[in-house]
Amino acid sequence: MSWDITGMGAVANLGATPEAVFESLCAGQETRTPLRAFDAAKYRAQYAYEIDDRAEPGRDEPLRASRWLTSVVADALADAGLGDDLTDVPVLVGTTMREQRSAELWWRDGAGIGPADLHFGTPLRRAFGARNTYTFANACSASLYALGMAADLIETDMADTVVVAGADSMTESAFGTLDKVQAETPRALRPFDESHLGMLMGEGAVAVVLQRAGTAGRARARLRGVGMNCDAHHATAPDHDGITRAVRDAHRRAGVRAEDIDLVMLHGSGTPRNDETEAGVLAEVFADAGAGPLMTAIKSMTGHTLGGSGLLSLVMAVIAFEQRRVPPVLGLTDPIKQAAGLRLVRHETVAAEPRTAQIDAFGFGGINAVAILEATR
Amino acid sequence: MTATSDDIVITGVGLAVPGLGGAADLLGAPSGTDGFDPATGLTGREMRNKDRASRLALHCAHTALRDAGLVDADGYTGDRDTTAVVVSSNLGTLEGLCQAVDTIAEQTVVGLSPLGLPGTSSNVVAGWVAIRYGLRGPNLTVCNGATSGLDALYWARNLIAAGRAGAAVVVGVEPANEAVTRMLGRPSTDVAAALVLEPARTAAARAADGRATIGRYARTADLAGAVAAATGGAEAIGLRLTGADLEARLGPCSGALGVLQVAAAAAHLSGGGRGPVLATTGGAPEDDAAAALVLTACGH
Amino acid sequence: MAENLDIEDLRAMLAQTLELPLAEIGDESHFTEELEMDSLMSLEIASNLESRYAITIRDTDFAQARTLVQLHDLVAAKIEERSAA
Repeated sequence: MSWDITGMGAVANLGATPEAVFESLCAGQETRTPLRAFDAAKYRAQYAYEIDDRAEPGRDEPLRASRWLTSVVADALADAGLGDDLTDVPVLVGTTMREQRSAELWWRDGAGIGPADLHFGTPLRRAFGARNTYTFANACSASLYALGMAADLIETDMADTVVVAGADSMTESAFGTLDKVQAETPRALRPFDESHLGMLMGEGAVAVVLQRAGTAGRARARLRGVGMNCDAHHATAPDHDGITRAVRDAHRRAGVRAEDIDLVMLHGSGTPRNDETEAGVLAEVFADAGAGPLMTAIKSMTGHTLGGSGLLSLVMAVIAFEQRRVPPVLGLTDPIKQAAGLRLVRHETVAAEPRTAQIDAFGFGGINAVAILEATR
Repeated sequence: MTATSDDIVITGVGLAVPGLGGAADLLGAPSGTDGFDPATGLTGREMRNKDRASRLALHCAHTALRDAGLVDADGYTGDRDTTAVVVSSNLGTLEGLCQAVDTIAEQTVVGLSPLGLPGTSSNVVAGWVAIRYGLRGPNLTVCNGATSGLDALYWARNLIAAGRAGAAVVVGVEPANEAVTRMLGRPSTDVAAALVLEPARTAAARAADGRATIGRYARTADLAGAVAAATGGAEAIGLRLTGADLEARLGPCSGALGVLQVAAAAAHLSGGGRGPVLATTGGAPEDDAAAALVLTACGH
Repeated sequence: MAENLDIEDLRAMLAQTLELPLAEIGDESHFTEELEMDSLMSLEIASNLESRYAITIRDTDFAQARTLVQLHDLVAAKIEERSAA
């Protein structure tokens, strides 16, 4: 079985549409900015990849993630040629933090929010009349988990159309605790480069409309399958075996072999542990796959957009299919040894005609999700 | 009702509610003899350095797995690769983030504890349950407001029905603390419940008792709509659990409520009580939706 | 100063951080194999030692200390380094 992706929306530090984000990725410019969301004097890390849309600079606001989510869902519906009435359409949102940034502002500054504001059903009902909504807090694999479960809803005849989304704004508690535990403080997110020191957060939201194949006239790409599992190994560190199982499960579900994959959108969070583990797994998976697929890691320019990051990578893969080009991993000059055999796109955007992409997303709790996507051009 | 080959049943139930013992205590006055005591029940090696929600979850998950006959001295005896964990919690991570915000303000990030890192992500509980029992199937955290507990049951069933999981441990948990009290506007209690879900044929193959069968579910705009969609308007309901009785006794249960209700339903049905049971959550003016789930007795 | 370092203080700190009875923290109990210390617990302990003794402990340093006695030696050496600097 396969599923059609018929509409897309996205917002991140780089732009407010999927095409604008992709164009910025292809420009390959440094994009991180000095930390503005929080009082920088309290942190070792001084940079982030924020969406700078606050009414007053330096004064954070509640419910930004909900705002972005509403906006990208509207864009995805318009792109799919659907109206904005989601009364009968399930909406599955993957997130790491939910609206916990708003809870922080409530606790510290008395921001006026209540329990119903912590999950995304509340703004989705307000904006689209949606009632069949789910907020899955599945760390940084959340939006691909949501995508897999949306595909299941269609496959088991519980829906023909599902909106899948991801949204996160940075929280002080997570930004700060990560800052505390990273042995050295990164000044930028540098996946797979010897200079990588760790992760820096970004912000964003992303949405796609997933439909039963043939329901709509135009499919921008076709989802072939999503694998999802759990390492059951460590609370925060990745695991070689767990990631390997997720990748192979995704290939099996999609009915593809390693040599069929010609583009990998890497998780690439820039932590030494992630990069070494992910590169090690992929080196094994693609060992007998000829030259192997092109690979890129958008977090080098979007930062880690957390729960939505996997779906954002997927949306960028759709545009890579359409525009026949793949953006580089920014700042990758000296690849780590585990990545030596991988065809990482470096320095500049390359022309290519990928037809089948693998999208990786791994999260805290050892939860992994891997999607396989096919071009329709 | 007769079990059909596609039925998904509850084979284990566990609680972590102060003063309560088994799930039957949710239906009436607790027997009071072997009730849960957080002071003694949340300690031990497997509990250490974990947030309170994770400890409560680990306690009731163990009881539920033992009840299902799926743990022995070496740990989990089911198929680790295909067992899912599904957790419902709205407020489990709230206190940790409030404390972190205070610590950063007073001492900068230097004052933060590395042990708080897992709890900065809202899926911390599901991660610890998976690690404790080596459960490598899908791992899902549902934070979906008032309906969250029933929603978690629905998604656990979906993961099994879609062939992604061969069994699921479902946990609903909310810890009681100052931040939660302030968010809810009234005091609450530590509450957690766990259920083990399996296909009826898997349970039958290992001669495990099914306590209840998961029936139809709906999440829609209001309670009347959810009830109509879940019951189809056809069946007579033997027992309706609105959650009002439970919350009158325990205080607000938030994301744990639906799982507690289903634990109560399983106790009612396996004790010979009249079915089907209809559990409902949400539908208050501030809620974005209402959910309803039907549970029936297991046929043999 | 090195005189302020007492192995019993370290034992108590380990017991508290690892939430284990004092008696389980033997001089030669292996941190990972016997006390089941994971990487976050290691970071927590290193962080506590750094603030208590005004020293810097790198991950690679801590990985060398696998028992209470070895940890005591490591902290003593770090205090020496600090005093010499």
